[in-house]
Amino acid sequence: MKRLFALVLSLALLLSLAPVQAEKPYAGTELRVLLANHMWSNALEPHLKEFEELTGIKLNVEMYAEDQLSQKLAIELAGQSKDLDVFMTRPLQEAKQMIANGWLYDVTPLLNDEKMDKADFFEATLALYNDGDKYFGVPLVTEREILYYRTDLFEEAGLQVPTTLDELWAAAEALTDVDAGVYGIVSRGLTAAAVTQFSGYLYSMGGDWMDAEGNAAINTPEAVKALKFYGDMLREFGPPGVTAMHWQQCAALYASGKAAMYTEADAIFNNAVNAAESVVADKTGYALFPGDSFYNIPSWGLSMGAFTEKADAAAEFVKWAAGKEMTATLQAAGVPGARISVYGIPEANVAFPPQLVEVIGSAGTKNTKGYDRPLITSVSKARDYIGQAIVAAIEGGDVQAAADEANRGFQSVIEEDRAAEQKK
Amino acid sequence: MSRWVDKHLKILFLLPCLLFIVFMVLFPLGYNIYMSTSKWSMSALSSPEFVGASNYLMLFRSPRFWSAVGRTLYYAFVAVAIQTLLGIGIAQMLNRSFFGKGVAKTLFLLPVVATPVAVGMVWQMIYEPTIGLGNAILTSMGFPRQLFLGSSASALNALIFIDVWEWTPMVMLMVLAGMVAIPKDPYESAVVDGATAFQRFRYITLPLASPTILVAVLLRLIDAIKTFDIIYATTKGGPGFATETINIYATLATFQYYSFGEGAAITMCFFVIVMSMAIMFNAAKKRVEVEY
Repeated sequence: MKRLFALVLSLALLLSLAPVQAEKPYAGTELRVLLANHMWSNALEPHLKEFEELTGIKLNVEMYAEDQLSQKLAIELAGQSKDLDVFMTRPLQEAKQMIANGWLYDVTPLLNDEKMDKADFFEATLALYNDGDKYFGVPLVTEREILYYRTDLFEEAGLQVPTTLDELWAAAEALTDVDAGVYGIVSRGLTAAAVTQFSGYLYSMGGDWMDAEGNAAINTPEAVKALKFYGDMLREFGPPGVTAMHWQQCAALYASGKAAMYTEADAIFNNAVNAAESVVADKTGYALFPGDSFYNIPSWGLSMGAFTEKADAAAEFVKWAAGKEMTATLQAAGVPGARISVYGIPEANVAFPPQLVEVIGSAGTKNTKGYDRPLITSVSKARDYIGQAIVAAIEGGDVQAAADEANRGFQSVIEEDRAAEQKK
Repeated sequence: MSRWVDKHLKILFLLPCLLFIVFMVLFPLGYNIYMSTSKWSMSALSSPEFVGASNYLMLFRSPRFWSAVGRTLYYAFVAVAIQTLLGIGIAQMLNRSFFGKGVAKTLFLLPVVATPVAVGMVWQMIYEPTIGLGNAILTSMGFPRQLFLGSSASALNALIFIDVWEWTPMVMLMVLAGMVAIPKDPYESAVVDGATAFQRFRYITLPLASPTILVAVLLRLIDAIKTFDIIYATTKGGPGFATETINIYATLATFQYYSFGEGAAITMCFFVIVMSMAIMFNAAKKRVEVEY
């Protein structure tokens, strides 16, 4: 009798909850979301409340600089943390290793959801999260290396916007005015961070990270030529101490009006141009990277923790944040998305300067590469070695010797990866 | 029950301490040794694979590791040498009564209590080559501009300068405590015998304060070898590998390269260095111990 009573009671309870559940099945659930300090996160933040109201899910958002985020994720995922629900990952940086480690939740069903429209993502961006027939992340942001330049300084000097690396050199030389505190060009010089922005120079000189057999190739004549060009250019016409500069420092320098040109990802244009303290907001032009080849890549995506206990609620968040509507909303706030459809919506592109929209649009017609760093599992280690050669080139040492040494280090990383893969 | 307790009192009183050592020292150490003999990318799908000494052999063959060891020792010894000299000098100046002594002592202590990461960020701004305060001061005094952290030639020394700024007061305070404890009589008789101020410092203060100085040096040395926060907050080991110490290398290996075994092997080598240093200094301390 007692048992029957309990059964009836719980049934009644269930029924009374049913209508609420149909509307907000995850109401009251708390999700822990770890984001990188990036334009995408900044643009998303004001909308988080909408998601909470829509679903009744409470979001606990933490934001970190990219290196800290990657380190925090490694620690928590190695500990198989159950309360790590959703986080941003870099498909070209750590995703491969994270997939191999079994740290990421299989989001294939989520992607196959009709509303997500899997076919709407740029194919190359989705491929980086693919392993076998499974997907482990949803791409959010794409980026290309472009040239930011000061329209006023170019006009004053009567210069044309460079379209080749030789013209870039000439312009950097002409626009450097150390007494006035203006440097001809700025680009990343900090060891590993410099690797991705050096890629355009490397590709345009005919080099690549690896050869056809997948061996290290950063001491080839083409690569050494690119290293010398990048190093000499930044040493002669760049700001002092450029070897300590990540994009944050470069962007701040450009925003303060101290650099005439800046080669960098288009995705950070808000930081470089529209920062609150920027003096160059109305004096900046955008152009394609002045070389034959450059990268066009997905830089960030959204993944779920493999050990999360709230996978369904987390999937709701991913669907919302990477859905068509939000991608369009965020693109309208200046974040280049990873969906094909948003580039066709005029309202979604209002935040971009028209010239930048044109540049992003025409990038597809160029000889671009889908990677800005070597496509291997141990990317981070490889970047540290390649960065050595870049720093040596900027400091003006023996570039060939530095490239040879970096190549040896890089090759050893490739071989470690191969050995690990063979064991599988 | 109470009889049992009485009988085993010795063990019972030792138990908390023993448990602490086992769980907080021996277990982590043992686990680290185990990890250092395995290859593991922290994968949830495969467990660590035993590889014997190959992580160590790889390190010993790697020029990057030896440079990191060299850099760590250079950083620690140079920084502590400067701190000790300055610390003794300042302590000697403060070891007398004068107006505002308390205020002066407190002011000297400010760098010690500041949060290291915040210290790193502030110095990063001071060291900014184009708009930083450092170059503004240098150029106003007629010195050439410096690249500070922005050049692999000067970055490590620039970091040593921060360490000296931050920790000299600590050495000073410890040495001062040692000096204050020295009895007055030897000084009085020395004055009667006509000893100069320098002679009193050289033949009375220095020998009698040497045990404290040695303790200060030992503590600082171990601390300086372990320095991580300031380097991580400013250069993260760059430019190139120019400021990559053992600690930074171990962090990168573990959390950026996902190579747990390599990271564990590096920390084991680091452990050996710190331990041997502690043992060496303990022996040295016994030899200079004085009684007064």
